[in-house]
This record gives sequence, C-alpha cells and structure tokens, in this order.
Amino acid sequence: MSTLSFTLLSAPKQAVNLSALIPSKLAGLSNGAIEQIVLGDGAHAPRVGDLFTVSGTPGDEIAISGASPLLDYVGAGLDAGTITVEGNVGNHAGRGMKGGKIVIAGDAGSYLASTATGGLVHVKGSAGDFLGGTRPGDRFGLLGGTVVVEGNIGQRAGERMRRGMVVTRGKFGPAAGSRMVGGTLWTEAGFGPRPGPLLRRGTLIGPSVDELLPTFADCGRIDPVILRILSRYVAETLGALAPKALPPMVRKLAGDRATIGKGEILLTA
Amino acid sequence: MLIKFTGGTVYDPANGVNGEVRDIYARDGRIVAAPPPGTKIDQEYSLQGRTVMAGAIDPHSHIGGGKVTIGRMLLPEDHQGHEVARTDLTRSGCGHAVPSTMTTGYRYAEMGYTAAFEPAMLPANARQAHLEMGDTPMIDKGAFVMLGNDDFFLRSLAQKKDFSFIKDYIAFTMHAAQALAVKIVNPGGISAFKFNQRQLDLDERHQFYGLTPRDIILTLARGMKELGVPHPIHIHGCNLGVPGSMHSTLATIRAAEGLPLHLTHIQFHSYGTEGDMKFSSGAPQIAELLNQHSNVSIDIGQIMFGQTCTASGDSMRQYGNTKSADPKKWVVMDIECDNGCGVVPMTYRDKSYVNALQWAIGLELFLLVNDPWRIFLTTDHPNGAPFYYYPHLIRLLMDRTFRNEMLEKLHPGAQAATILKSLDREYSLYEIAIMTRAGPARSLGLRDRGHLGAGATADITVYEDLADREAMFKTPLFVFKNGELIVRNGQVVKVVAGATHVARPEYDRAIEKPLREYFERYHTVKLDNFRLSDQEIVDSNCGHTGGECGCVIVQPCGPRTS
Repeated sequence: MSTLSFTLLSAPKQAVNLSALIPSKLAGLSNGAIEQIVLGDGAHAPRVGDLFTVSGTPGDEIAISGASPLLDYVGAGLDAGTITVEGNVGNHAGRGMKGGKIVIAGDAGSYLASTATGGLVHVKGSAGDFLGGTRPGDRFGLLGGTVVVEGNIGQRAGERMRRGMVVTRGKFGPAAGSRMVGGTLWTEAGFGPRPGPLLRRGTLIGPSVDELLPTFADCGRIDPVILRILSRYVAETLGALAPKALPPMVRKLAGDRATIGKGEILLTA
Repeated sequence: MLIKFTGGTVYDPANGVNGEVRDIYARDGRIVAAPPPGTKIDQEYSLQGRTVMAGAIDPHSHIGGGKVTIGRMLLPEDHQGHEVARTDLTRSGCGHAVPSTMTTGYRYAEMGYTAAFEPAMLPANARQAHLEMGDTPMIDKGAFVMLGNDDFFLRSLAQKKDFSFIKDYIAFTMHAAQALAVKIVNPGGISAFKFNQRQLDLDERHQFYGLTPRDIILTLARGMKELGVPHPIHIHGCNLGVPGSMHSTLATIRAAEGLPLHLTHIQFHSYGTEGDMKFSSGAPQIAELLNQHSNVSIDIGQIMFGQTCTASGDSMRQYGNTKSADPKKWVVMDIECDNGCGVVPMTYRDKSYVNALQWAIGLELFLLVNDPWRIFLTTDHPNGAPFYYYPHLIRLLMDRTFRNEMLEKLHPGAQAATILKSLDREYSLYEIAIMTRAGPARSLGLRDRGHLGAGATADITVYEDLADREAMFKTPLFVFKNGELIVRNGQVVKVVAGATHVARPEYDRAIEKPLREYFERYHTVKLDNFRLSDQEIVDSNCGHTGGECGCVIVQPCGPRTS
C-alpha cells in the first residue's frame, strides 16, 4: 500500500486548513502538483510546499508528521483511506468525514469529528471542547461513525449529536451530551459536572458523574439486554480499541426532564 | 477620452435597434453620436460577432435594509462553503442566498448587471439600507420606500384627510428616506396582523382603521401618478403564497381603474385551488387579464430549486410560511410599530409538487404575457432564488428544448398540472434586452440608463454570441460602467462605486408641522434625525464630499408618458 508523507518544515504562523489533503482529492496528482495546492482561503493562505515536504506516492494512506495546534481540518471530508498524524492537530479534524480512518498520535483541538457521518477517529492523546459537536449553522453534531479518545475530553462533547459513538478511556469534561438527540457517549473514567443538559435522547455510559443535574431521575438498577449487545458490538468493531465490556446491571438516570427526557445516563459502577 | 465599440451586434430596444451591426462611441462616461471622420479615437474595442446591450437593470432585488442582515445572521450555514477569498482588487466575502454586500456587487457586475434596486426599504430603516447599498460596489442602486402599513398614513386615510395632505406625506417620506419609488407590501395587512387578523383580502376591512387594501392601493396609486413619480406604485399584493391568491391578484388588476400599477413577484400571487392538492396555476387567467390592461406592469419572482432565504416586509404572510422554514428557524418581527419584517429560510425542491408547480407558474407567466415592456425578469432575490440564477432563467426562456428537459425532471403531478409543455414561445435576444434593460429603465424613470442612444450613460455589456444562452449571460466578455471597463471574461478588473438613484417629487412643506408633532408624540427618533442627507449616502458609497462625485442622482419627476 502506498503512503504519501507530509513532513512539517516549521511550525505554521497562522491556522491552516488541511481539508485538501485527503486521499480522494490527491489521487493521480504528482508530488509537484500537490505542493502547489493552496491550503484554505485568504490573502496569506500558504501552499502545501511552503509548509511540508512531500514524499511517497498518492494512495490510500497519508502520513503527516510534525505537530501544531494550527493544523485545522485534518481529514475533513475524508471518505476512504487512512490519515495518520504524528503529533497534535488543531480544530475541526475529521469534520464531515464519511468513512476511512484518522489516527492522531497527539492531542486534538475542538470540534473533533463534528458533523461526521461515518468512519473512525482514533486520538491517542486528549481531545478539546465540542467533540462531535455542532458549529453555528450545523443542524446536528456527530451524525455517525466512531471516535475513540485515549485521554480526556473537553466540555460539551456530543453537543446536538444525533448518531454514532464516542468512547474515551479518560473523562468527559463538563456538560457532555448537551442537547444531544441520539448516539452514545462512553467513558471508562467518568463524567465531569452536569452531563446531559437538555439531553433529548441518547445514552451516556460511565462509572460516575461528578455532579448530576436536578432534572435527571434515578430509575434504579436495571439489566437491559442492550448492554450485552453493545459490549459485543464494540468488541467486534473496535477490537483492541474497545472499552471493557459492560456489567450485567447498571443504574439508570433518565433525563433531561427539562426537555422530552428520553435520554439516559447509565452508571456502570 | 473617446472610446469606440466597433462592429458589435447591438440590441437596444429603447431606440428600436434589433440586432443591427453598429458602432457605438462613448466620451467621458456617456454615449455620444458618431464623431466627424478624422476624430482621434483613444481606445477601440473590436466587437465583431459579439452581442452588445446596455448594462442590465434588476428592478427588484433585496440587497439592502435590515432583513438581509437578519438573513445573514440567521444562516451561518449560508456562509460556510461559500467563502470568497480576497484578491488584489476585490474584497473577501461569503454567502449563497444572502451574499455579503461586496460579493453582491461583484457578482452582479460579473453577470453584466450595472444596476439593482432594493424594493423594500422601511422609512425607519432607510439609513441602514443606504449604508448597506453604499457598501455594494460596481452597480447603481436605489430603493423603494414602504408605505401603506404605517400608522400615520392609515390614520390620515381613516380620518378622511384631504388627498393633498396624504400626497404631501408620500412625497415627504420619499425625500426623507431618499427613495426612488414607493412600495406597498400586503396593503394594510402588516398592520392588521398586529390587530390579530391573520389575512386581509382586497375588500376585507382592517379591524382598527376600517380601511380595505383596495382603498390603500388606490390612494397610493393615485398619489404616485399625481406626484409624477415615474415608477408606479410597486405592489406586493394580498395573500402572498396562498392557494387561491390569484383571485385577489385578478381583483387588484381590475381595481386599478386605469391607474398605473406594478405588481411585483406576481408568481407568488398566481395560485389557484384546483386539483387534488388544492394548488393549481392561475397564470393563464392572470396573463390574459394583464394582456388587456396596459396600465399594469409586473415582475415575476421566479423560483429556482435549491436553498434560499425568503425575506419580506410581509410579516403576516411570512408568519404563515414559518411552518415551511428549512432549516427550521425564522424571524418575524415588528419594526418601529410601523411595519414588519419576516425572514424565513426556504429550500425549493424539484420533487415537491408545490415547488415544481411554482417554478412552472413563473415560466407560464413569462411566456403568456405578450408585452415584454411590461414584464421584468426577477427572482425576487433572495425569495425565489439568488440573483445569479438569472443566466439559467434566461436559458429557460430562450430555449424550449432545454425548458422541456428541465420540466421532465420535476414532480410528475406538477408536470400534469402545468400547460408549460404546450407553450412554444422562445424569447429572442431583443425581448430579453427589453425585459432586463429597456423595460425596467423606462418603468423606473431612469432616462439615461438601459439604452445605448446618445446621451445615455456608457453602461454597456458585451456577450459572446453562444448557443448556450446560460453560458453566454453568465460570463460577459466585457462590462463597462460609465465607460470604464470593469469586467472582462466574467471577472472583475476594476472596482467602481455605483450611484444611488432617487426621485424627489414636489410637495408642500407645511406637512412637516403635523408630522413633527406626530414624531414628538409617537416616534423613537426626531423628525430631523429621521431624514437622511445626501452626504450620508455619499460617505458610505465613495466617500467623496458632497456634490463632487454625482453619486446621488435625482431622476426627474413629471407626468408619465408611457
């Protein structure tokens, strides 16, 4: 499998839009032509060649080495193939992606995988605010696909998220799942304060909650069959990345009753 | 500086020139008669085989005033993905349905337009509207001030004040708001909405003032005629978008009693209630009646499929439309207790029966109304579609095969409900030139625009004569504004500031005494601050000191000749 490598020459001085660097847009281009691609709009938008040295041949895989929180939109709109980043990335990575895989060795900024409809994003570090969230003008946040984060996640993850799954080994920040309409947030370390404000539907799974909103109702301990189905599903689809299987019984908190209240927080501990 | 445009095929309907090969000369921004032989030509453009027309004029396009700004704020998704980067010449911008001001100006010019008129400026918003238009480069502009729902007008009419009093008030408002004409939106209806009425038919009484829309239309139509304002009263009639609205439109045409009227975005007012869906085309009946009434002119407000944003002063009807908002968000508001505003995003779908039929109704009207001098090409930007769909619309009108191909893609029920397929008419370039240049210029009273005779402003558009009319009208070869080359091959090559056109009918200043008292008592601003000065327009437009640049053009008033 051929890999196209981009090596960062020096840290960019302004935010750069890397949405052009996905396999389907680069197929069939020479390295010289790739170096001429303008990254983003604006009077000072750099060309690929100004920031990166390009090597290898275009194919299914793209490797970006070098880290900068100013590298925005990494893998935005990705439809197939793999993008590997050896370092941190900026905001909006994986925005609107439809398929394929993004692996980020460092940390990700805000709005990771917002409006994505499919694919897998794997962040080995931590992720910023509004993960799978909605930007002004978007109807929904995450619409499908899976995000796996090894570290912690910032606030308001899954805002207006509608479908898909976010899994973290670390903790969700404050107000995870705010205004969420569907999908699953799953943590192995617990939720920060006040998860699920105006949660309509959707499932938040974790061992603990730092501070619960008063609009969630304790429904006691339940043993729905979905727990086993879900555990088996993540084990099959995520393999080594899958979280630990769920216990047979969980404690259910239903809410947010400030709105239709069809969502749930499932406490595993 | 003398410029010669050599050998182009000229379409200049105002001077009866239909596709003749002619030379045109321009000196210092004006078109001049052929100079004596031997005169030194400073610059020559060789235009053999190319089509030459005056710069196009859009008589109805929402490019200024509060509602467009509301639309921009309401729809961040309209900005995303439609960013336009800065170039050495042009400034950056964004937007699809409601583009930013700069982008609007550039896009108009790149399409061969040299003027566009904002049709719904509230007197209270006039300052903002003019500032926004001042920010719109390349094109000439002007605005129609909205009357007929404001308390002072309705109360004067209800109290049966002397007609001259009302006339003075109309003229005062035109002066104060720096308007070119007067528009009326849902006559009395916006006001009635605030008294909890949800519709107001032509002969239905306003609950509080006891007036009917018919009274209001006739008063304003007569007022415009007697004041000698060139453009007749610009009417957005009752029942916009309501199935069955064709009946109030037909009644409005009959009600005019020979007074000149302009019925705007008539497509939205031409719906019947027949068929299983209780939604049908009223275009044949309306076109038939229009063909008999030479006092009535129209523009279409054609819809095109895709995302757009409707913006209207008609808060009564826009409130009704909120249930179709897509994306689901909208703004309907009152403005200074004198008028309204409704902004509702809309997506027209070709697979929807209603939208497909709306599209067909607009085209039926285009093809059934015989006199191109009384029908203007608009999409009521951004209500029907953004203005840069005009080249596509022109192709639909000029190319029957293309039109029928497009029709076949639509909702089958709509195809069965329209007579569009049986209409063979294809517009000629001459008729397009009438509809987009000569007609609007004559109707708006722009005596030196929209034609290529001696004395006219040298606003000239040159097209390659392509078989694909959409491509032809989309990227003009050259566009000249005041004799300066501003666009080449559909790309801006020079940025200029257009002028603002106003009309200032005579009136008796004594009206200001009762008005001043009224303002003191009820308004949030004082009368003197309500008035907009020339300098304010100039400052926002080109920044020259008053009188130097001629960027406020007062169009003469006088008895209408046609």
